[in-house]
Amino acid sequence: MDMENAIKVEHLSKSYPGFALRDLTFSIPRGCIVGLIGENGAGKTTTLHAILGLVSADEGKIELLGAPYDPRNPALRRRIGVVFEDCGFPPHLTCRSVDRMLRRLYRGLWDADAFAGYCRRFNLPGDKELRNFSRGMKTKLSIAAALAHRPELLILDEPTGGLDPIVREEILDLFSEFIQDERNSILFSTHITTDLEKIADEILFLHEGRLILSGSKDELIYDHAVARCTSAQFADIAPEEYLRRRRLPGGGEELLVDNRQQFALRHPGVVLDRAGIDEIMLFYVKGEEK
Amino acid sequence: MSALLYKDLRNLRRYIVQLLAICLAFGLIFGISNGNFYFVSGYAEMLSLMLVLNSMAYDEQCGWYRCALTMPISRKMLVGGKYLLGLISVVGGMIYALLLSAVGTIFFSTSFLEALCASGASSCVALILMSVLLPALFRYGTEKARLLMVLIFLLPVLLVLLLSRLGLPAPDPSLLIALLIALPFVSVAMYLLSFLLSVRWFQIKLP
Repeated sequence: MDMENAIKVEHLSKSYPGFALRDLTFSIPRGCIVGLIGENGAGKTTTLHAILGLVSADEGKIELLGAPYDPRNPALRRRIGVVFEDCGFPPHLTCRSVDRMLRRLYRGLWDADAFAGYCRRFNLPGDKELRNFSRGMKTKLSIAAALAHRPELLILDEPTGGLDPIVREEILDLFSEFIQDERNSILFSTHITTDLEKIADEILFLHEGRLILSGSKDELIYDHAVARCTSAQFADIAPEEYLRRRRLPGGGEELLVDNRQQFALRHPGVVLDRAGIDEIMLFYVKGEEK
Repeated sequence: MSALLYKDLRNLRRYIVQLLAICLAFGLIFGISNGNFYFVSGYAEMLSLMLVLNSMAYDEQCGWYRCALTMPISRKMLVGGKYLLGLISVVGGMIYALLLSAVGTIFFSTSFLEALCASGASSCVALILMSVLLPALFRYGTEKARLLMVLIFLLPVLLVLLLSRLGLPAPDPSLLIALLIALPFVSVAMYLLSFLLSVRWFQIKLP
């Protein structure tokens, strides 16, 4: 049993016709916010579903909150809060009836005052049916419902997708508050890399079903850089000095490097720019190998 | 389980009110004006079947099952919730039919025993229909199981029409009584077996 990790995944594999999640191994320490990124179809949602037992993995071992996860045993799910892109609550319910339902479900854990507080904070009306809620309102409700039973782990699939920057900011603030308790952890998938840059401690980058990059966000951003060089400069750069390469239409090359300082010392004439998460993703998805 | 039942009843609240209004209207039109209480009790049971179907369609449409399985709800509990809703709606239909029969007995001197048998039999038939339909809905979803739903509603009607065209002699009353006695046991047994099958099939669909 590993009490330090909120999630521990070992050699997780899952195959579908035309897509496979291959041998994922990673762990998420308690007290961390981890962002799961990757292009559409990279396997983010499949990974989250496999962790939650919503799809059966072909291979692999999953531990949640220090215990092996058995999807047929719902007891552990009392300690987890989950938010999907779609709200999941039936359309004729209201915030009030969601409260009454979840009060029965999370007996002894449900904090009705906290739920009412989140609803007030997010301006969610108590008696309006969910079918009349906007997408942002549904997401806010899902987050309020996921937080009000005081979980230790939040797993969220694209929680800020399609939301305006103000709502996104509110949600990110809530995540920051949640993580103030160092036993709590968050794993969330997203396309919005600015959100990751704001709050994530670590990043998992999936590409075509494989985990190709993982680690501390700050180190990732600090170590990686984009080298912009002419064809002549490129000729002097050894293949082991860069990770990926992009040819520029007007001639010249852009290279993704993961040892910024050493590269700058070796090639002082080459322009080096900071690589954001977007650019790192772009190089892996669109760039060429060495 | 009470959370699941609350969710379904709260979500279907408006629909339930509509069904009650329809039952009341049919009770007035066919029961009190025509004295045909048996038809009304059968119709009430069919409507109770529709209640469960609608609740499953809603759940599927909004992605409730996936959401529920991230909460402390087991697959057995999720399936059991629908079977409990089915049972409650059938019992509700039966109570309505019995009330209507009582009205018929008091004001129109119809036989209460006959009405009791008719409402009991239609409740049992509704349970049997649900026993066939629910596993298919859990396995294939409401969209794919639609054809089966049509067949389930049409086949008994076609069978009765066919038998009446064949001009077969009426069955022996003692056979009918034996069937009537066996029907509750058969329907309850089928409902229980159906529940077990639904749990198994639902686990295949969402492991």
